[in-house]
Amino acid sequence: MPPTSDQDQHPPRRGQAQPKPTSAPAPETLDLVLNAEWVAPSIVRTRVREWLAAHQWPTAAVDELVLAISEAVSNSIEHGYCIRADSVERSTEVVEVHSRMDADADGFRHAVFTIRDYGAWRKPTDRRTTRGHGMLIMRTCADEVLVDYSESGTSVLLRSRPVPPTLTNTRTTP
Amino acid sequence: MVRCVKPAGDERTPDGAAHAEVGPAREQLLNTTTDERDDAVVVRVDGEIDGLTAPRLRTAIAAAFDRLGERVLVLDLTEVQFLGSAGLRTLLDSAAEAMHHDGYQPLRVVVDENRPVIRPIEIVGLDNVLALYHSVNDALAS
Repeated sequence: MPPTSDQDQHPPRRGQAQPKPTSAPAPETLDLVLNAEWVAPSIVRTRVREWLAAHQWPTAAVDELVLAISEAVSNSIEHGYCIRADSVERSTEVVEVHSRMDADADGFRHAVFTIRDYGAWRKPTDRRTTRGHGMLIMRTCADEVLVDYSESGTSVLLRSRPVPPTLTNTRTTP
Repeated sequence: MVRCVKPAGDERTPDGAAHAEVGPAREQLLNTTTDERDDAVVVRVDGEIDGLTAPRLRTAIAAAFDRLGERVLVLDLTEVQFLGSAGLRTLLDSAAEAMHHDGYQPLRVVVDENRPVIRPIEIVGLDNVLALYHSVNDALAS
């Protein structure tokens, strides 16, 4: 029987930042500006993981959200700025990632991300269906995906699935 | 507002210029080891597979196919912490290559219960193309 992904618990993985108990409030927003390079998605993944962990986001939900955001950032680099994977030049272009928390009336929370580039989106000339994986991943992993193309750049809004309110609002004193 | 213009750990030179630390970042993010056995070549992957690191994975798998002969190729992704569309593309291409080498057998991929790897594979339907296993031993026993 092949393994499936319906696992809610997962042991900590090597090399990943683990959430540390903290008495400091989690930052309401996270703003990143990155050079448009192929290392950018990994930087974004690390920072977004840390930010979501500070908000006590469930692990499975973090994984899916980070996957979607990484695809959006990768799309900006690949399609917005057409940076090749083997490029070694430092790019002066930037990708911006803005993250904020949203709460429904019943306390369920959504993380909302805006990934923006200032490149001219070029339709991929490669017709292979694998080119569509990024968009499929984003639409599967997020509640809402809005893509705004313009001559001055592309903006992708990702709104996460709802996550229950945190169980405790009290903070431990050091 | 935080500006992240370089990978974490980079330092500026004394005159203030920034290092272009792209090379070391790739190695920190992905490692592959190839285990040559009598019956199989096992490529173990540790780290993150995205647009930056997928080319190195592609190279390691191509080298394994070159040396394969009559043996079976097994890809071990149990220590992979991230798998994005670039990695999925590499898996799909490798599955096509495996079809030619292995008498039309699907590519054997060990994922155990590694959700960050299983979930993207499921989302794009690659679980219908790949043969997924809990362990290298299971993959070899098949």
